[in-house]
Amino acid sequence: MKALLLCAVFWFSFSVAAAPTPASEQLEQLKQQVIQLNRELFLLEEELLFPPQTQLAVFLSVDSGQFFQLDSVELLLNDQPVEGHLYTAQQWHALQRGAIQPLYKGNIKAGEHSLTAVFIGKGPDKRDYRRAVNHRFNKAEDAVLLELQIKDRSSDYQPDFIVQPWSND
Amino acid sequence: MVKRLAASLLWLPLLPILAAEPDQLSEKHYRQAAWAFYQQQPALALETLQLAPQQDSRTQLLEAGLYLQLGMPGHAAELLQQILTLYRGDNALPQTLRNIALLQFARYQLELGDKAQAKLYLSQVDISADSTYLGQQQLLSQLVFWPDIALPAKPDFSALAQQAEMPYIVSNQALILAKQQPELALQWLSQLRQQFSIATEQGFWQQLFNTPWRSLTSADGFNYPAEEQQALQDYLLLIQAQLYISLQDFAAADAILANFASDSVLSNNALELYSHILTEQRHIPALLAVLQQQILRQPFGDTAWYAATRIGEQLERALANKDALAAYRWADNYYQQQQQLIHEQARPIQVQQLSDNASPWQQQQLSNDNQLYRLSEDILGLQQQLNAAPVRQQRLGRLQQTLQYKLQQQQQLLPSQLPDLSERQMLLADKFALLQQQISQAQQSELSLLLTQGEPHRQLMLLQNAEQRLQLLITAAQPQSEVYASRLKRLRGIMQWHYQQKSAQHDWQLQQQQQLLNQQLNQLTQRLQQLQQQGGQTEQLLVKQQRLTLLSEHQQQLNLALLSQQQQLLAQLNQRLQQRRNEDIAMLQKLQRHNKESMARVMETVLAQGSSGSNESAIQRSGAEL
Repeated sequence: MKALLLCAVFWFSFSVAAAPTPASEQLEQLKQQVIQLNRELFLLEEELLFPPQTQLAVFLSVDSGQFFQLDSVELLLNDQPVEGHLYTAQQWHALQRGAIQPLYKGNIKAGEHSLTAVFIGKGPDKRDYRRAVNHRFNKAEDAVLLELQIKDRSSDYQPDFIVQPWSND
Repeated sequence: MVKRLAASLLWLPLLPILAAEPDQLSEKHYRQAAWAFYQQQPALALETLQLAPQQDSRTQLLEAGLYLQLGMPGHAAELLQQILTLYRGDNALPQTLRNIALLQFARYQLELGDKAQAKLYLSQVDISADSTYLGQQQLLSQLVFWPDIALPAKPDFSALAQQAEMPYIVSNQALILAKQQPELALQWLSQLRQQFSIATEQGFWQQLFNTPWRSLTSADGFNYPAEEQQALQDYLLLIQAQLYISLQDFAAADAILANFASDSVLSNNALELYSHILTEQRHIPALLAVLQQQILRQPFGDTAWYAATRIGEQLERALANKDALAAYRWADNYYQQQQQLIHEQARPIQVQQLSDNASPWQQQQLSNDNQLYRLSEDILGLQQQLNAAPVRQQRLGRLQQTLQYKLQQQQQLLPSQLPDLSERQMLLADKFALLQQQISQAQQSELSLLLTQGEPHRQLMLLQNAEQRLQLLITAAQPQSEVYASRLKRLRGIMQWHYQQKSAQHDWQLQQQQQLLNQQLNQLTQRLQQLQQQGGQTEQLLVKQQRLTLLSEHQQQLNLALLSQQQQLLAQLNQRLQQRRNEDIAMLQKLQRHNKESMARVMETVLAQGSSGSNESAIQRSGAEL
């Protein structure tokens, strides 16, 4: 009968956790310290490597994605290529589920700039589709955070590509 | 278990992402965390989430799930408790998310062995409005209240439709029912198998194109992944066989177990049951085959060790003394070999061996003993953290270089650029003041165009010279002075009229000049302020350098702590493995002793019966070996 009971709960009992011991608590504390260290390191990196006075960050998101499936994106800053990304099926699915991809982070001088994003993928009826969108912006004291949005346009069943600036923290 | 929890907890809270307000910055952080999560980077996801300016119950639920992913169930439990106690009223979680939190927390409490707490949280699950988690709730309830679980009058297949847990719930009910009504329990299982067998499995191409991202643990109708479906079928068969055995219907149990799939995940359990009924039925040839299978399939296992001596016992029971003696001799050798192998393979294990290079005996111990498995997982988890240390060190080094560069830049900035800019500012300020002075003089003057350049200015100069000379002529009482005076007056009038005609244009030019100068002066002042500000950053940079130094020290201390903890756990693991080795050796020695006794007994029987000459020689050989 003992074997049978074990069978009955076999799908839950592959690795039943033991009660927390001081060792496991200590382990969790160490892991927490690593997380804190990484967070502080990240903040210091932000402050030193990408200060707001020079920071440009570009994100990418998808709303629905019925009329366009993204294969790749290329980013040009003042007509110079700065970033490119090829998407896996898993990444595309993540975007469709609402995730925002941090696509690019860099430093630029104050003044006028131009950002061009080239989207390559499959458009309506699975046809090859390539679209570029340009955005001019002025870099001042605050960090510039831009979100490239791929939206569905129901009026003509075509995808829409938008550059949406974020308000700063 | 923890990973399964994490997967279910993380999969579900992400669903309502798109429904939330898109403009909030916290929402952006939440969605970036989702990106990291989908990239299988839970640590990065957690970092992103924790940097969000605001936290709400939903982000905390995701955070709890990420903690579970990172093997930190304590932190996850704390957060879940916070979510359940802090957020009430308007801030309360939507009921679906609340149900997820309650179910996961109840399950965590159950894992800790605190059934009272598990019951408490389980009782708060409200699935009246949304039955999505009915299956989870019922199954968890069975685990918490086992064996006092609620039994319906008949299996509720319709209510549990679309619930992945349905076969487990009904089979658990059947198990309890079997105590009083085994026949009815068999009926339930039969009905369950029928329900289960109507599943229409999707074809390969359909699966490939339609469901590439389906969660492995979610059921769509009764379409389970092939492996789980097979395991479920085998599980139900095994329960049926067990119930037939309890009803003494060995033929029915035999019919099931004789055809049990040898590649099933439950084949070892099936072999154990099968050997039991074959022993009861005294089907010696089949039993011997089963025992041999157990020895082959479960090396270093108790079952195999018992099976080794049981072969001889069964032959002895069948009065095949010669064969029994040979079997006991084989078992004796087998026990000797097993002990030797354990001695060879039970050497202290190293961290590198844990992931892929452990000996078969060590692997067996790690996979069969939950404590050993957890210890090895903890050690590997620590190794993962230690492997990340060089990357962190590189990041710290890069920051150190950047900081040094910026500090040097600061030191050079003030002495080189600041004096030059200050000088230029002073020059421009002088020029501006001069211009201001000239403008005010001109405004006071009768001829406001006194400051103009070129031909009009030359003409004005000539007129003024002529007027000065006329004054001299008048003083000297020269004749025709009045005529000159009137001519000069006329000329001045004409010039005045002429200048006034162009005064607007000249005024504008002057203002433009003034504005330009003012603009230049402002720009220069701004640059100077920026420079002074940058010059003032030295102190901030020094603070950052201090932070960096602290971080470096912290990193070193943490590495040491991680290493020390890992060594402690490794020592514990090796100590427990050593205990297991001793236990296994003791068990083998005990079985060997028992086997030798059996062997001696058979020899005595054979001697007593005055066996044939060939048997005697065999006995003498065996006796000599003993």
